[in-house]
Amino acid sequence: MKQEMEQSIALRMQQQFLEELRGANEISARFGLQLSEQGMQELAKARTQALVDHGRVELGASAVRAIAEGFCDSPFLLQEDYEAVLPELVDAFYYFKNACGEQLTDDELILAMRERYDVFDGSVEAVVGTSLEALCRARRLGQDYDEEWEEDDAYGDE
Amino acid sequence: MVTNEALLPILPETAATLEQPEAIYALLEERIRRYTMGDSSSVPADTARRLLEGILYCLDLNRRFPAEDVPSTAPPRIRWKAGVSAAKRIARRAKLLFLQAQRTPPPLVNTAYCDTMEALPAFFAAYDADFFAQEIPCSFDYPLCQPVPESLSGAEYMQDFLRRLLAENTLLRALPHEALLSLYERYYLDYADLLVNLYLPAAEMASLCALAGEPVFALSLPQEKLVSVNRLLVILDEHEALQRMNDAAERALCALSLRGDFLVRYTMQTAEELLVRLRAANSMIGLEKEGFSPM
Repeated sequence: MKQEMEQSIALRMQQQFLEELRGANEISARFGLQLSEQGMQELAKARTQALVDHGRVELGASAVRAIAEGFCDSPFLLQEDYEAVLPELVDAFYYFKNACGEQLTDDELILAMRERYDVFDGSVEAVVGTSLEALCRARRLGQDYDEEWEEDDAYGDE
Repeated sequence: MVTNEALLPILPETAATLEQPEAIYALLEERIRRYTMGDSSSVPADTARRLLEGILYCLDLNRRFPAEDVPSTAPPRIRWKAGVSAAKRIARRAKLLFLQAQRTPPPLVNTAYCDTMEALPAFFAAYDADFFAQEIPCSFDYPLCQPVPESLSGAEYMQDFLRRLLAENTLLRALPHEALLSLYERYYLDYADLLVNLYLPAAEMASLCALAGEPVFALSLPQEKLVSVNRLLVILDEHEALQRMNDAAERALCALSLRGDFLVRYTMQTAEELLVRLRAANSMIGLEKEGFSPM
């Protein structure tokens, strides 16, 4: 009985999540971006995995919709990459949430990720491969991203 | 169906005990939203677990101390809220006990006692019944003679700790400073700096004095009296010895003009534990005399 109840909660949450993505689809469609039903299922799995991997819990409205809406008007995000890019951004988002020790709000973090994504001409690697410090430093100080990216590369080579 | 494994970090320990899980999850969802003030849709699993424990603790608190206007059949949210109120009420009472403990210190104190008294205000400043009612945000260095049961949490733990501390202080305050000092020097060598309880030797010696028919205020017995009391407790059967120790503890408190059910029970318990130790030590000596080695 209890197990059935838990499954029913999980199912309800899953449906709620898919409903959120459909809502996000309506907005992103204006920019020519849409997730297929299959893409939504994949994104749901990726989000669940990211939450487990990063040890976080999300019971209400998901941040994934905000991420989708925060990136959908980027001129560098194309329909053919959309379903592959979103799961990576979602994983990076939950990673950065932990890294910032809850000091950044969801919106602030999404904005910082989006800025970096655009500055590097739509490079997901530039977002997921950076540190939180670099992400925030650039936002705070208006640092030159190109120099910083080269710096990151140099560190990577060491 | 894709199972939401994101729930797993908070489910394993609590799944079996959850009543009305739908309502509990809705409540947890609301608490997470409040906790993050809408700034974040997710929290670390550890925070979610602590928030869930807070909800379950308040529900349990309401079950044990039911609010008059909240029936046991009320929705979990209502019962949780009543539990939060109960936790706040207990914290307020504990604060009063703390103020009383500050006003009535024992005649002699040690470092651990002082450190604990300095640490306790942090509890009242940091205790958060709305989110983490089960937590005890301060440290307790001073070891009580009869420790607080580990089953107690949050403000309940603090209230019980202070109740016990006050009972101990009451006995100590009824005894002469010099007699206590002399007792501690014999018992602990360095009572001021060691992590030791100040009540234990005083309560034990007071009970032994009463048992020997000597003045309790002296907190001291001549060697021959100690030996005879020890022998008496060993030759009596267990039930009789226990009865004598309990009577002695009660007489000691009467001699000090102390009353109060809790203090009487507390001191009797201490005397009973002394009896157990004495009888165990004597049986060990008996075994050694018969040729059995404890090693």
